Amino acid sequence: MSELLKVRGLGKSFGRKRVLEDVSFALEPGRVYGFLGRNGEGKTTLARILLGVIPADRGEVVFKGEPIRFKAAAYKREIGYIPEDSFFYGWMKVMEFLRFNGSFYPKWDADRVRVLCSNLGLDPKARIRTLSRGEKLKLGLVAAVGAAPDLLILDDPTSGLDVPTRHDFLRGVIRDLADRGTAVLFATHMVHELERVADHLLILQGGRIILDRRFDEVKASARRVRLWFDGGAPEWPRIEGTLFVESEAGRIEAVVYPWNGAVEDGIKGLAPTRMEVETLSLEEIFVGFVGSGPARPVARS
Amino acid sequence: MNGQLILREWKEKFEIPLFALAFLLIFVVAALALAEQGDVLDILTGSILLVFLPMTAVLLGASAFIVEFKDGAWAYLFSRPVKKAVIWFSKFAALLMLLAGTLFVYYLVLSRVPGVRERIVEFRIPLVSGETFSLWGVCLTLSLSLFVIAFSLSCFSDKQIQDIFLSILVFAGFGLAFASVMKEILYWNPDFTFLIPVMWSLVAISVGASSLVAFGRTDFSQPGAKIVGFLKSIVLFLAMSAVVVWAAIGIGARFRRITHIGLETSGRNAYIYLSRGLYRFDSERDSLKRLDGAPWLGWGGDISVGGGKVVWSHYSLVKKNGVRDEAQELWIIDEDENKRSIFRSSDVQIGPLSGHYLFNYCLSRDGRRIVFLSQPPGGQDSRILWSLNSDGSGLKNYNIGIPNLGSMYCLGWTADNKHVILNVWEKPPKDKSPQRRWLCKYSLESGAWQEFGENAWMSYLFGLSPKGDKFGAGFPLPAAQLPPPQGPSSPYGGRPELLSVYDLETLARTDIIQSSSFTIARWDPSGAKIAYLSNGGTRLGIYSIAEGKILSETALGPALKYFVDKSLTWAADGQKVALSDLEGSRYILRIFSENLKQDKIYPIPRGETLKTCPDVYGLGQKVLVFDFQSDRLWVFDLAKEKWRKLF
Repeated sequence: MSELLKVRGLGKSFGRKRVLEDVSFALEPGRVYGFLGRNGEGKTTLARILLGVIPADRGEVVFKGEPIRFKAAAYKREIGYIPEDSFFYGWMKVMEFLRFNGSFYPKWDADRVRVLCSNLGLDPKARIRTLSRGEKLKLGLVAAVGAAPDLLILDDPTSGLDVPTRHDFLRGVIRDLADRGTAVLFATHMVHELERVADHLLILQGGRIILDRRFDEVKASARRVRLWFDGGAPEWPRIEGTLFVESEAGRIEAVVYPWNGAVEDGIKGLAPTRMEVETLSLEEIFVGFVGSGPARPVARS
Repeated sequence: MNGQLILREWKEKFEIPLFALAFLLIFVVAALALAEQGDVLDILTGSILLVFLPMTAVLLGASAFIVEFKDGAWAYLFSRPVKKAVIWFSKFAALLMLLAGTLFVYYLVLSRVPGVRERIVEFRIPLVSGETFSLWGVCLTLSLSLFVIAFSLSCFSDKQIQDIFLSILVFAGFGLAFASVMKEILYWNPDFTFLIPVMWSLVAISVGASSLVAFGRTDFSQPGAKIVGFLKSIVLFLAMSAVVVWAAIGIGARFRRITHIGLETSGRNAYIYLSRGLYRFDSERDSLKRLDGAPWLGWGGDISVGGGKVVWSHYSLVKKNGVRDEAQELWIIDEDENKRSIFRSSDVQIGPLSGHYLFNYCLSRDGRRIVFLSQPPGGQDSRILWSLNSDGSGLKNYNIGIPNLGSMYCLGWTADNKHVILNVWEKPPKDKSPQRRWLCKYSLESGAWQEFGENAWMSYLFGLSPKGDKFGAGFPLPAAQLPPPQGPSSPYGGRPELLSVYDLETLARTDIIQSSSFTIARWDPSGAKIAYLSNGGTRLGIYSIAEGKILSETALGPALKYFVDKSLTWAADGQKVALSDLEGSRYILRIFSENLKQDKIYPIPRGETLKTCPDVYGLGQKVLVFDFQSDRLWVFDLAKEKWRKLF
């Protein structure tokens, strides 16, 4: 499938602090990319660079085959953005704001916007400053989706939504958009939510993408292994893909990615008295990747 | 620009002009109620125009990006598919329109309120270097400048009040710096008054452009980067503005109209003193050489030649011991073209010339000494004669003991280089009797003077012979108590007159020609012959001093009744006479042989456009034709019969 967006060697520093070191990845249409990283790792910075809000120090962003410059604006017609915090003009009414926002987008779908407002329970005549945080997020969602974007960037917007709305949002909107061909870059800390919609996982740590794989592959290849020994536990061998190891008297617990026959043989070579291998949830995989230690090499599909 | 952004801006900021208009209503009511109390109305009007409206402007400007920064909406706005420059321009245009509308309504209303209307028209506020500006002009300048600065700074600050105070500070800083620079420039050359609006506009444009560039280029997530980007840009734009102004002044000076300050001939050379510098035209080589450039921002001056040297003066402004002063500088170029300054009036500020106005420099025939006149401070009709060696030494003033001496002018040196001939006026009589005038031969060695030439005229149009041994002048006949005639336009035109020549050794007078209404007479280069125009410029004649008779005379065409329409000179080393004359509606150059028989006519280039008669100067085989009205100088080659424009 052709790449919609390609990021190569992106770097950004704020003063002496290097936030993004060397970020490279690609997005394809019709896929939902779960974008994970700990607080302060630079997810919002990356989103703002992609949107031309702030300039990158180095690297390149290619959208639909065209390198984009910091000052360029036209490409943004095809990118929707829902930020973590709402920042709309409080004095505007909901529909007034949506009309104002829609004026920037040639493909603005006013009918769909009305339907979405209705479905999400947004009062078109309400002043934005009177909306709750959840309602403002809904408004941001409608503003982003109404532009019928080819790429939708979500910067952890769902944390303020109630559970039913979040469910509708993920299932009804995100999945629907992806099915229509929109690439969705979904940054969130509510990792478990991604399991419902994500096709692909990107994990950002230490200014680099350390995981760039299809979600089902990651899910299928990540394992937690528990080993019991008589007497003391031996030293954990140098097994490639070890994300996490914890050793205590007569017991070792480790997370390994990717899990394969060679890894299994290596572990069996430790001669444990008992061995348990289990698959992991996305949250556990994420913790396994970013839980401790230095940045790991990039894993790509 | 983006219409939606403009509309959004209007909706968001309309309260500010609305508040200003509500205030206008209150002011109008107050003005009508206080119409009789002039002082109160003065203060009210001044406050509205010089404080309230500029504050409204700064408030509008400072509000530009406040919402975006306060609510974090800048990230929302920047992520829309619209260029940052469009955002900047749209906001700027929207707010400027609000401000312009407010100012316009204020103008409409205030110009109809009795009492206020008059004050707005009459108040003049002195600003830079004594220039005064109308109240509305200052209000507009203040308001627009503050608006631009506040708008520009609002891109970088999330605190409106901080932006307002910062804008006022920046405005005051720029204003003071600007006033200082302009004061300096205008002191050096008042012609640059037009630069005040130009340069102030450039300052405002620089601030605005810096804001625009920084807005589009810098990283708004980093406050320090925004400020640094803005400061870098503003330094760059101000430097560019300075270069543009400097270049414009320089280029403008090259293309501005040339002003002729003086033209003197000596032998085969003419020395032409222009606003661009001092030039020498060598008639034999047909070459023009620039001897010296004009001092930048200098003006005025004088020129004199003698002994192969040329002296010239100009005014300039100097700064000495921290005090600026107007100084006159006198320069000399000797035969070897060595140039040096021999005199600067500011150097003698504490000396006898302190505060004097210096003029009428006159170089002796041997080029060794210079005389000049000064007008002492407050001495409107008073003149003092000075002399100075050509190396700058030996400054000396002369206490001329002529009773009732009013004014005088030095006409030149005698052949012995010891005397000068002065044209002298008595002090203006308190009754209506004619002011007495005469000529005076003054000894610079003994201080003795000899009067001659009572009621003489044509001292400038005839005067000293080339060798300095004779002096020619005109006299009315009979020598009645009549004011000096003014040429053919004089009410005495057509009256009998005498041309007379004085021997400057003995001061013996010889009346040589009797005719009517002489307009000009010229010595030939040897001093043996005189060419003259008589009968109000309708007759041309040549008189021989040696033979004591008129050699030839010829009738010219009719002359204008009220204007001199002819100028006369000897040409071809005294072999021919050249005359500028009006033929129909165009000026021509007429060349006569010595016997005045042959007559060749050459149209003067663009002669049909001339409104006054150009002066002519014979110079070997060339004739210079100087159109002093439009400052054009042509040279005509008698041998090649071709014109060439010198300036």
